[in-house]
Amino acid sequence: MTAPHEAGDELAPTPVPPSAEEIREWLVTNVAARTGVAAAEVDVDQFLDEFQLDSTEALVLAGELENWLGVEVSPTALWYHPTITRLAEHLATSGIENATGT
Amino acid sequence: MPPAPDARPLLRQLTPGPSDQRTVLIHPGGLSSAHYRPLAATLAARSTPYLVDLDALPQFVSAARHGGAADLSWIADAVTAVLDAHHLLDPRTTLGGWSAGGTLAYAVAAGLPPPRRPGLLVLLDSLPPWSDTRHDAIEDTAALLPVFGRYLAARAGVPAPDPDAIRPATPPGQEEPNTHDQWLWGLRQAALAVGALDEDVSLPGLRKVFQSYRWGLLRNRRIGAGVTPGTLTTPTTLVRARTSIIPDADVPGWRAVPHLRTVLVPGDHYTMLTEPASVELVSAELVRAGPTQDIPTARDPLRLGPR
Repeated sequence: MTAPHEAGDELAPTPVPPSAEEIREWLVTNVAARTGVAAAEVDVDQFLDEFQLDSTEALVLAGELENWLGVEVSPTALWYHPTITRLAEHLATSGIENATGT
Repeated sequence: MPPAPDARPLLRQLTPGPSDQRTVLIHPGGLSSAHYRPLAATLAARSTPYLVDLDALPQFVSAARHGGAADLSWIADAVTAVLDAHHLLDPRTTLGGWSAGGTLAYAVAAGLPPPRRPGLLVLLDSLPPWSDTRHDAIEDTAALLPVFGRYLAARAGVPAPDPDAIRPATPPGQEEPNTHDQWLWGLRQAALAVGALDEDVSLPGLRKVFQSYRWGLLRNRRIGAGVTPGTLTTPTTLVRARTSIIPDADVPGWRAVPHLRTVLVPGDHYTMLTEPASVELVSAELVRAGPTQDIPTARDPLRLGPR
């Protein structure tokens, strides 16, 4: 998987925005790590709030996703796109452009 | 905005209870609604508890991002509408709320004609709607971190970090960290020491949590903007946590409310909903009879009532 930004980087526009598939893979990997389940068992169509992630953990995940993408994720993105599949598609098609102000 | 695919209800009944007494609590997010379970269980014998979950309003969630400038008067309108739709606007209802939920409860009640007002208002460690809403009060990272530490501790169910233990520290790998990051990293270390954070919370993740917390505070401090004191004669109880979030400068603001009494409970702003001794006292206030009952003054330790 590509890693547009390493942990600790400041936000900056990503030269080549990751695809929906790459974002989905990042989310699966990190949700698995935070919830202690195998990545293969992470259902990408399950609501994120059913993964036993509380809102603080979800915000931590969002912060790390922003750092990886190099752009800000809207606070309501998880509200309107509540599954890994839908969030990845949203970020790949509109979220990154919106977040960078274009 | 499009409708949410998994819309959560704005109003829900927490547990069954007597139909002739209702307690409606407004929850402003921040903590999980599960924090109301002990209170609901204690209330259920004497009243039917309901929760208004403001996080069910996507505009409320979004307003945290724009809390410094947004007109938030629509939030009181939305809550009034849902209570009206469920026939909960009359004197048989005790209306209350924790933190900004109490501030909003006051604003909702103030906007109602007398026959539809609740019989009692109970505000759990809430700021007056006319409190200071300056942005710079929220911008001081170092000053806000002890409160943020208490918030993280309450979520984790552990004692709060010692404020004196929160010192600037350099995050690993950063040769020239900014002051904000240094304070956050220091808070992270203090929070790790008491178990309020997990080891795997990175600096970018903590930045996001703190940013969301700070913006939410600003939004919450504007939630009752426009409401003035003196317009509401409903008996009102301010329940203040021993370690309160209400700044000393805002405490006198409540003195302008007629028929106000105050009660002090154990715990801090975040644990007052779950600490057993506090739950007992809060529950007793929520089911206390309205204006026809004598109002004791012995439990007004802060002397906030009208003088």
